[in-house]
Amino acid sequence: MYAGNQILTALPVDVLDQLAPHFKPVTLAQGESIYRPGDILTHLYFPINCLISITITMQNGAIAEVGMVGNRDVLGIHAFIGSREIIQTDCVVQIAGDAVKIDTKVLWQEVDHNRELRDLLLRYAQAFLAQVSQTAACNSLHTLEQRLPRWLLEVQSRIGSNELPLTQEFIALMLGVRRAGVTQMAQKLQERKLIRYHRGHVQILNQAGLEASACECFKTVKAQYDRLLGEK
Amino acid sequence: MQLTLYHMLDQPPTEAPCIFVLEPDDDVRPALRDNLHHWGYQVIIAIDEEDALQRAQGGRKPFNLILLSQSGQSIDELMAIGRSIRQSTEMGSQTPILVMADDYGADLEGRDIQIGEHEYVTYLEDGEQLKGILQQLCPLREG
Repeated sequence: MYAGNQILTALPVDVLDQLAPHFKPVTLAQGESIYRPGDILTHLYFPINCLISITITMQNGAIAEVGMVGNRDVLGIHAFIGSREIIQTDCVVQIAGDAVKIDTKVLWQEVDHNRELRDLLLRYAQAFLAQVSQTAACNSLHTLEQRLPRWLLEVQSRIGSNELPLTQEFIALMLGVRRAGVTQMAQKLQERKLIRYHRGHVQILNQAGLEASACECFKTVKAQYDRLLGEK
Repeated sequence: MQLTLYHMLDQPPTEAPCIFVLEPDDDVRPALRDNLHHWGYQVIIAIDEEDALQRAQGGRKPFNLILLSQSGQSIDELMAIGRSIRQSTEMGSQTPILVMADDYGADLEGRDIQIGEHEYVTYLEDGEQLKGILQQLCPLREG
């Protein structure tokens, strides 16, 4: 059950044994809202093969994705880097699939007296902050032509599949651009045989080519995750 | 904009059909232009209505289709802009106007709808759909 998530896999065996009775497997549906701004963080989620987007909604309704949580991540870092457990962002399931959740208080108690666990989760927090920081810079400095390949690669690496069930409307929402931008850019990538795109489905055909088209952000974030959590 | 090797190699021949494009969005314009070139069309690009009318009135190159990208306006408003562009040139009233809709649900996705004589709206599900309807309305010459 835990093999799909890199954080769970990295937990010391004694910690895993201690926590195992408290883990609850869940199946998350696409579009499902896990947390909304102001919600109390009751559970942490360890995705196995699903993907969760962390988004910010501005006062005018505009939405932008600031981070994504997949099988290298855990949703809910607030729980182990501070005592306040209020969420400030939307957390929405981007790709349906399985996850394991655990009560925040149970994990917090274990973190409190297990240094190995605390170190692992704090290293993860550092990796996640690297992702969010890089995304902020990427959103403001890089073109859609660079950002779309990067975003597809980030999704691919976090669900471990070349088959991405994503609509152009959803991709546009996450990238904070018009749908037309995604349509034209996906077509361009398709004509270069880097992806195949058809209604609601993206298939990555040429990983190296897509990486060459993307900005440096994908490799930068991956390097940080590899450094802090070990290579996947 | 600096021309890259990709752009230079991807320019269509001068006798290729020409599409007049109105695309206000800086994120979309480069990819749309590149795709149209790649498919074999010459392209005239305007960034807003005023720019479009100036380019249409002042342009020497005739065009074969007007392609308008929806970005905030209604379909009717865009069609009116398309007719103004057509009237401001010596192009015949048979020059097709094609609007690419931007705000639509799954029920319309994938459909091309004719809403007037030589006036069409496309609700794209992917870029291939645009390629297909352009080939119908503005065929590329063989060879």
